[in-house]
Amino acid sequence: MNTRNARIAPKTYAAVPLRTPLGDWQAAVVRMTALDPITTELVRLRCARYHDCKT
Amino acid sequence: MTTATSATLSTHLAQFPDVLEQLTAAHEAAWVTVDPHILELCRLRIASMLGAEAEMAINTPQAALTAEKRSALSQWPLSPLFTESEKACLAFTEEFVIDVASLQETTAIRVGELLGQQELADFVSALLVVEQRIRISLAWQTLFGEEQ
Repeated sequence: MNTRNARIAPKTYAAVPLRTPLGDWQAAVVRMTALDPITTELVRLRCARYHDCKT
Repeated sequence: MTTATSATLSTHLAQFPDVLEQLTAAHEAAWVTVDPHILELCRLRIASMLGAEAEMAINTPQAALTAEKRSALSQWPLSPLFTESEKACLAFTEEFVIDVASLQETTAIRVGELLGQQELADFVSALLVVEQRIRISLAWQTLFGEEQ
């Protein structure tokens, strides 16, 4: 498991005008159905692990 | 401004208008949230590293980047034309593009020290949007044998 330290102060997020469409874009991508659900989930988990994303 | 990248994205995302709309909105927000001069330097560095010739051929007007500075970009570590903040962001960008999972803690901390924590968060998100647009576009151009 990755043990990297946080690089950004806790509770610091990108500004809302940028964070909102960025989150909406990622959500829209996940809602796409061209790829089957299992492959989509495998890609999502691979990306999450690579980016050390715990959410 | 319509660029080769935005044209490629529009073509291949035509059937997914919500994805295209949100990506476009995030891209526009990136340029008004982050210092456009710094983001332009990083966009050009990403384009250079990924071989995105069409991206390298355009200018972002609001960045107000001089031709002299633009031509010195490949020598940014040694060039006096670049501020410490710009150098920190360019170092971050290079590590981000090469292997984001191996980005050094000191590299991120340096950007935070020079720009501020909020600005670091904004910069990382903006960089992600700019980099992803270029990568996705390049991938499609390569897969479908399209000209840049």
